[in-house]
Amino acid sequence: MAITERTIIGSREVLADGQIQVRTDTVIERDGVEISRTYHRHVLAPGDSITDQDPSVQRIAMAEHTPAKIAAYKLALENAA
Amino acid sequence: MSINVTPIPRLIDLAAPAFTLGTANAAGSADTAVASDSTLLVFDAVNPAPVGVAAVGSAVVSSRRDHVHAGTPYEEGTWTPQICDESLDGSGEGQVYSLQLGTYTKLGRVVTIDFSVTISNLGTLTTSQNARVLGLPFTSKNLGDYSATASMSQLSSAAITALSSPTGQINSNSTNMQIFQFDQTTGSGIITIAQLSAGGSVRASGRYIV
Repeated sequence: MAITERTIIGSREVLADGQIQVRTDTVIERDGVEISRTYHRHVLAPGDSITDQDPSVQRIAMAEHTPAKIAAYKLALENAA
Repeated sequence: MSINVTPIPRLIDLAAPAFTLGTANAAGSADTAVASDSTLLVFDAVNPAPVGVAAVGSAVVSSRRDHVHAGTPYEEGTWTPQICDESLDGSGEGQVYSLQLGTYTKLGRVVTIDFSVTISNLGTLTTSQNARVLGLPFTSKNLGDYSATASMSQLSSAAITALSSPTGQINSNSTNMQIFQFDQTTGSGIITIAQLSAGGSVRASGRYIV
């Protein structure tokens, strides 16, 4: 019997202003059959560093986080302050 | 499930399984419909409670209220709380943490959070700026002046006015919680980074809408 653990990006949701809601799933398997799955979440805002992000999230961020969108998001934060 | 109805309604035939007074319906069983003005009382584990008044004609209510309706998204998990100033950078200003534990439960559009965070080094956070907890698992609802509240169970190693009741506020379209205290004669004021110390902890629970 082999118990293995792996993490995958289970969900990536892009909001209208470019924020990316990311769910990282930790999957426990016994002999290749999933027996447990837990979630961890974080949100990546336009302008945030993507260095430590999963490649699939980086690809989305590079497409979504354009200079215009980053500027608009920053402006929205300033207006909300 | 048992249902009391007054006056006794006329029942409309629905798809099987049929509705039966006084019989416990299984989770996910058929809905119930009535055809007159009636208050439906649904019994769960302890007490009956009205779940709605049927309009003239017909009305449909869920056959049970003690389980999550099929199709209501449910999710639970963890997140990583960080402390930041108004730059909203939770790690890039030299912050060091000795504890970061956040949990969430999302049911439909309601997110409930609980978290504990202990910062052992404040790094170069700007002392004059509002202290915030960053990293909420979902972005809050983007709706103008919307804000939600988090209740603090602990704020330690902080320089605040005694009995000033620190509290958290989650604003519209946000993934951070601002920390306030009721230390003003006119209402609440911000807690600044200068009022926090290395080794200090923030523990809180809150709820917001996405």
